[in-house]
This record gives sequence, C-alpha cells and structure tokens, in this order.
Amino acid sequence: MTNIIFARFRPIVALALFGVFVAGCSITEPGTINDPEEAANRRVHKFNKALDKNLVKPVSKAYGAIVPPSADSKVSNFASHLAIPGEIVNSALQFNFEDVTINTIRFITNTVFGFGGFYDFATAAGMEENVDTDFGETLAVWGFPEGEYIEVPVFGPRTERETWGIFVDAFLNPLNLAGVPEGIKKIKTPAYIIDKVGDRNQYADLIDGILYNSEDSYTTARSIYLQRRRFKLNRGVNLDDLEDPYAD
Amino acid sequence: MLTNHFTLRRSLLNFLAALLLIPSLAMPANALTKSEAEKLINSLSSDILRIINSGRRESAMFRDFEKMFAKYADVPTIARSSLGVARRSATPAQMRAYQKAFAGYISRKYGKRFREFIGSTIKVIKSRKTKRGYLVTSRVKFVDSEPFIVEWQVSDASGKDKMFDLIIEGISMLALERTEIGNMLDKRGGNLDKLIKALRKAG
Repeated sequence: MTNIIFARFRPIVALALFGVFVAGCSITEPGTINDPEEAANRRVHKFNKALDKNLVKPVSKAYGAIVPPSADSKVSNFASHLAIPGEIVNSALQFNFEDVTINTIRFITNTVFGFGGFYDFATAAGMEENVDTDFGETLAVWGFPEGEYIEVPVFGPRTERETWGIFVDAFLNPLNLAGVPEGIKKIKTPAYIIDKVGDRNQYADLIDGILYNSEDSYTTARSIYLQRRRFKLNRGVNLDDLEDPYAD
Repeated sequence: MLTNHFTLRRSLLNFLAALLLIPSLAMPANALTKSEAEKLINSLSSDILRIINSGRRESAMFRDFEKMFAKYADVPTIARSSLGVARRSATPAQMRAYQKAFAGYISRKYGKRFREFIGSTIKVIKSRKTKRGYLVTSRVKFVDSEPFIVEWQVSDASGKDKMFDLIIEGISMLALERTEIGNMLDKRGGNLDKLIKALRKAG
C-alpha cells in the first residue's frame, strides 16, 4: 500500500527535490574548487576512511583472495549491464541519441549473447564502448552548475550536482518498473555492492596510495575526484583548464 | 665625407640589427611541430614499457625512471610549479636540493603507477595544439581490462622539446603534485628544508 502511494507521488517528490536543488546550487568557475563545507566534509572523510580501513578494505582483500579474477569480471559485467537501462534514459534526457543507440544495442547483445550480461560479448565483438552516464551528467547537459564539493558518507567524493543525481537515478531506473522480474530487482543492489568490493580490490594500490600514503588524503581525494569527474563530463580534457607552469 | 661615414655606420647598424632579428624570425620554423611532439611521446612510451618489462628489481627501475624523466621531462619547471608560492622565498641552493629530491620522488611515485601498464600497449591516438605546444593523447590498452587515456603536454618553452605534464584519465600530475607538496609543506610548518628531507624518502 505504501508502495503504491509512493509510486504515485514519485514525480512530485522528484520535482520537489529538483526545486531544492536548483535553489541550492551555487555557481563555480571551471577548474576551481568550491568547498565551503570543508570542515563538515573532513569529518565525513574521517568516517569514510575508518569505514574503509575496518570494513571495506579487509572484505575486498578477502574477496580478492577467494574470488578468481574471471568470476570477478563476470560480476563486474553483470553490474554494468544492469546499469545500462538507467543510462539509456539519461542519454535520452541529454538528447544524445547516438549514446542511446550504442547502449541499447549493447544491452540487447549482452542480454542475448552474453547470458544475461555476465559476459561482455559486445566488447569482444568490437562494438562501441559502454556509455557510462548518470543524472548528474544530464543536469550538466541541461546547464546546471557543478555546485559544492561534498564528501558523502559511504559513497565518498561527489559534486553537489552529482549528489542530487544519485537520488534521481534511483527513481529513473527502468528496472524498478512493474513487469521487471522480481529477481532482477532484488539482485540489482547486491550486484552493485559486490562490484564495488571487486573494484576496491582491483585498484587497491591506487586507493591505498590516496588514502594511506598521502599526507592529507582529504585534499588528495578531492583533487583527484574533481579532475576525474570534469574529465568524464567533458568527454576529455578541457584545453582551457590545462596547467601552464610557464606562465608563472 | 662625414655624411657618408654616418650612412655607412647606420647601415652597418641596420645590418647588425637585421642579423639579430634573423634567429627570432626563423623561430616559427623551428618551433615544436605536431609530429615532433608525437615522436617524443612515442619514444617516451616505449621507454616506459621497456623499463617495466625489464624485470629488474624495484630500486633499479626507479633509477631508470629518474633518468627517463630527466631525458623527456622539463623537470626544473615541473618541480618549480609543484612548490607553488613557497618557491619565492627559497634560496637557489634550496631550489637545487628541492629539484633533486622532487625528481627522485616523482620517479618512485609515478614509476609505481607505470608498473600498472605491464602487459599493455600504448598508442598515440590524437594531438591538439595548445597555448604552449601540444597535448598528445594516448590510449593504454590491455588484453583483459578496460583501456584508459593518458595525455601528455609537450612544449619547447624550456628551449628543448620536453613533456611537462602527464594527465591520467583527466588527473594532472602538475595539479595533483601542487596539492601534495603543499600539504607536505603545511605539515612541516612551511619549512622547506624539512620538506626536502621528507621528499627524499617519499613516493
């Protein structure tokens, strides 16, 4: 019953969130860091780091020791596969119909020939790479500013725009629609979590380097995250943001 | 006679001035070209792969990387930029010591990163003109994991064709090291000598 009510009011909730977002967004110059809540962010960072140290890192290490890479890559393929319907919706909202086509073809190909997405047949067959997008990117395409830098509990570094995107993406995912088998709905979140654990293990050297070998892991993570996110949204380096050490 | 002498001297001066102008006029022809920038990066990439696939022990590899950085990168400029405003109060002797320590530090740090390129192929896919030269984009491809993009800024602003920034999937070494070095300096109360000492072991 509550589910039905919730489903009916979903668009309204989304719209309300959206209003809050638009009102709350502050404008940022490209290439700069907008972090007015640094003190609060640092507290979350400390929490996230402790979470990694005491839970995520040991679990991912055990995972890496038990699960062979071939099995890990299947989990990873499956999790990416389940993310595609939501990505197609976002590409459509961005009016990027080339990306809609690429991911639709991938999704059908890997559902059929990749045994429900466990094998990435599309890449093996030489098809275009998976278009990795989200509602944060949709907002960027629509002209919304990046907003403040936020370290989100558990999830880690995000921009304000991307954080709103996380909520909206949960509503937008077509896999939540009625008619989608219950099994798929249930496996979605565990697949996502196991995939992240696998990633933590695969990139262990890099992540340990940032969190435990740098002098101030907060600013290092912030710099890396913002540069990487802007690169992703820009689909490459923005020539205007390039470093120029000869100027000073 | 006097006028003649004067004219002669003036034309001589003009001649000298013209001689001085020639090198600067000829400069554009000597400036870094797209193919030179790509050649530098191709050569640098094959050196990276050669070092990581050499099977030498870690400390030997780090020394090889340091030599490689010295050969291909504008290390003085990278080092100076990473120090940020603190360089303004540094003595020449401190700058020399800092640069040396920094070269070892980035060789160890990025040498470790480069070891993740084992089993890959690195290929230049495009280059774009920038204010200082070229941004050369290469793709690092693996057999069984996703490829990633490494970009290199190349310039002849130092007098030689050199790489001065390395950008892995959008993350610039120059930008990141300015943050890192700034943090290290802050933690040591802005004491440059202490920073230099710490850098000799870091990375």
